[in-house]
Amino acid sequence: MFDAMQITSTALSAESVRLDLVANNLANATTTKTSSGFPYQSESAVLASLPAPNRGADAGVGQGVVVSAILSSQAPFPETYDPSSPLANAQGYVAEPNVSLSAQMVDMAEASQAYQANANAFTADKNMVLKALTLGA
Amino acid sequence: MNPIGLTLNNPIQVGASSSGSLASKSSGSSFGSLLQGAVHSLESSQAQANQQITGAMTGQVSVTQAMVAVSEAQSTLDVATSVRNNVVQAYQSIMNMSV
Repeated sequence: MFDAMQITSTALSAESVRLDLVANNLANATTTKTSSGFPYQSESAVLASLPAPNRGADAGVGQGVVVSAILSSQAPFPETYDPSSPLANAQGYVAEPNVSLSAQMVDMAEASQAYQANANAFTADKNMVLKALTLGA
Repeated sequence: MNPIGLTLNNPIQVGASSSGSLASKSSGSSFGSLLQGAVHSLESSQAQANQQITGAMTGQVSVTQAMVAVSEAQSTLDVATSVRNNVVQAYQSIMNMSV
């Protein structure tokens, strides 16, 4: 019955996942060794739109967004000179995670703003339903 | 038995598409069944909201999803209340009619 609310809720969930990823990236910004043996790789969400149904009341209207994949960044690991570290290589360099703090901050602001925009769309739809109930009253 | 059976004598309306639409109309459009469906969806949305709140409290569902379910249940209840008010109003205006 409330299609706009369903569509908006998919976007809210997707933006939540994006914010979760930013939080995880920031938390692991200095993790120099993971279970794979490499430093932590920055992760980002790939969003895909949900297709529109061919029939019914919502024909032709896309049904929202979904996180289709979570990919690890393939950027090279920056290296710092720290010969005393147990992880240092023969030349004394330690590979650091490829988490870019500035990129994460931009991503965080983006996800947060998108979440707010969708929350406002949700409120607008709810108000539209309430307004429709007062029609003719 | 079938209130629209008489019109089927008209050969123009015996086509497959028209008989299909008539059949669906006779089975689903009585006010009682509409109301029953509305109450059913109201019940299920309330149950789902309850389930989502429990899930959010136990950490299985995100707060976002729980609040969306609660809002939908609330809107469904608003719609149901509004329909009920209009129905009662129509009933009363008929009952107060001095024929």
